[in-house]
Amino acid sequence: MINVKELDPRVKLTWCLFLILTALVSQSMLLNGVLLFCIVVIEIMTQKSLKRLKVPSILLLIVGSQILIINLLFGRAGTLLFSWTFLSIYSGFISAAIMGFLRISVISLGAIQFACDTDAMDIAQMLIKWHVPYRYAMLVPITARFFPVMVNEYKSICDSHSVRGVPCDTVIEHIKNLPAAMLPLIYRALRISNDASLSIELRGYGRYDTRSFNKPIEMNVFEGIAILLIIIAYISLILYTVFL
Amino acid sequence: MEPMISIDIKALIFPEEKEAALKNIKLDIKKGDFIAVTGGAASGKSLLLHTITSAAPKFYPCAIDGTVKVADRNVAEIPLCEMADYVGYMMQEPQNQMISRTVYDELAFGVANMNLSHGEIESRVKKIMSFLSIDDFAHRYTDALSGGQAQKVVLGSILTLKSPVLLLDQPTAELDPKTSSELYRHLARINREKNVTTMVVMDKSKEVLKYANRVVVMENGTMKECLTVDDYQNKYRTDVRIKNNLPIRVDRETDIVRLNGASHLYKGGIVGCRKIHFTLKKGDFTAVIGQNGSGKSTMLKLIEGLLKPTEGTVELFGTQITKKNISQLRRRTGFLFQNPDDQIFCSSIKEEIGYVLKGKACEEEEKNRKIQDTLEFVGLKGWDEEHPQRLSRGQRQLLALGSVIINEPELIIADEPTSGLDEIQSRLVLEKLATLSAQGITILLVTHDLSEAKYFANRIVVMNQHELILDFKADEIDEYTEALVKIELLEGEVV
Repeated sequence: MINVKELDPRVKLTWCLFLILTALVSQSMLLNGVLLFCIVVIEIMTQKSLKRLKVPSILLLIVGSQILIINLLFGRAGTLLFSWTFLSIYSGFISAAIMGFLRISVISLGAIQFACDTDAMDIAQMLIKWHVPYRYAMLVPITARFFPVMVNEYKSICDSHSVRGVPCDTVIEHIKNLPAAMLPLIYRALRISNDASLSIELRGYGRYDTRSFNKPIEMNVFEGIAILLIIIAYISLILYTVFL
Repeated sequence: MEPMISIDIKALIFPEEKEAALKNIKLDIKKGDFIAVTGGAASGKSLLLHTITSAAPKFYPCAIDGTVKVADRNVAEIPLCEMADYVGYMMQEPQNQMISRTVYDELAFGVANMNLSHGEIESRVKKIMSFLSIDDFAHRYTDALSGGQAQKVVLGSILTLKSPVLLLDQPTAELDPKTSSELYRHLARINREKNVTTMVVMDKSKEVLKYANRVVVMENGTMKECLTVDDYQNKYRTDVRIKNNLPIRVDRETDIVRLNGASHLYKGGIVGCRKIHFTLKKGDFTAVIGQNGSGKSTMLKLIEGLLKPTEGTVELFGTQITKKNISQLRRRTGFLFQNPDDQIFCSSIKEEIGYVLKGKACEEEEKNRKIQDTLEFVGLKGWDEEHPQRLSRGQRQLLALGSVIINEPELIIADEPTSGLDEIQSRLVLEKLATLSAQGITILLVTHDLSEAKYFANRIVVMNQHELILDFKADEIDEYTEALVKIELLEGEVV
């Protein structure tokens, strides 16, 4: 299995931006299809399974069906196939929907891969290298650390509500219970952030203008070449789109 | 010789408060001292530590008339972010203090803030990992650690800073006896070998007294006295845990809970509990004891229907729990969580207590009467319109109990309700449970504290490594001493 986590975050970010910008700029269904295929291949090569993409794929299919309906009702590309009162269906709605689906898939799955494969601390270091003050850059790993903590807090609040007769099993029930769950959740969040900020300050956070890292990021020659190649590929694509 | 810590506070007042939160405290602590701080709720124990870290007034704005010196420097003159050179501070909930995703990063956090080289960071972190024997989980995620492991990691992240003073605020309040004594042993070693001045706010556990050389007793914001451990033990010998003298009437014919070989596996095949055979009779006051992670909470969640058994069945009031009947069965039970803040969500105490009555077909007058009766029972009468967060943690636990009992449950499941409470607050909660038990309500109490189980329950069930291994009458506990020592629920403690 390839350890993509070891790659410099700047390479991964460049690749992610390449995917997003290409999907936005390109009008080619084939190119978007190829990009999606690349994402899937990378996932298999690095994770040896597509398990991580399962939930996002289901959500994308739901979004895709919505794109299809919108294009069916409002799409005006191609020739008119059917018309009745306000409803007009044109032949181009399927290709427009597929294109929209591919774009959204490439953008979201590319971003998910970047977020999952890049250590939050590496992102912080990357931001520091771009001269973002470390007090702000460190917010990325701190958020990543407390996200699962807050999810667990929410789950325990839901458990306590459901034993008091407030059902919290389905999505609708969760939405209905949200106002009641928010108050204790906010209170817990405030308490945690208070404790955490005192704890980090007492461990010297903010004492100097810079801080060191136990695993500093360093870009090697191959990673530099990889970034260069991605940029060249993107510029070529733009030139191809503009001039041909 | 100059003292390591010198406290001379005439008054510490929070804005918009008339009363001083701390007053007339004069205390000198020598290098290498191991001080235990004790006192009732809101007596100023934690605040005393915050004056040493200088978090009060720098983090918690307040006015201090007096001085606090550490290593002969007035802490008021030291910025908070430089205090790590003088003191290391650790609080009760380790998960709130860890800000890195992995254990290694967490241990390196403080030293990295000191701008040390990569080599120096690695060397310090490795030394501390080896000292605390946590090398095995260096690359684990911090949110996946048990309470004891998390406390060790927090302690490690402070030790890497090499501060000459360690301040700990109830570090073992939520830990089981085994983990708690392990942590205290580490603290004693640090104090002895590294000559680190240590100050610990004591929780219910008396373990710290084995290692402390002085005890500071706080009362209403003042230092009542500073005693040697022997003097303290002689003076405060009385155990505030009074035996439950109320009758427990058990109906041997009626089963309230029955677990038939129930097991639960969490995601990824992690065992929650294994093949539990357990019956709870009507009127029983049963205590479930076991180490952290022994499967106690999983068992409770199976009984409450919050988890489904992956094997075996769970019956409540003679009916097997299914998705269809779970809400009906839950109306007959009450669940008291370890953290009262999980179940408190209304903006006034009255509203909180009366929450379950909403939508119930009964007169408004009747509802009000029930609310007032419940408030009186839990000792919160007259506080109706106050916000729940104005109460102390012990009072919030009583409020949570009130919000449960107003529904007149036949079974109350209490998951470590005294965790994080001091002895007096714990006793209040347990006495209420005992009163309810005397009224015929079946109680299932999960606790780490063997004496709570012994003095309040009529039956004790012991969980170890996800299995139910012992089930005996509470007054027969002495016969099981050896077995309890073997699974480290007792450690040289005389029960």
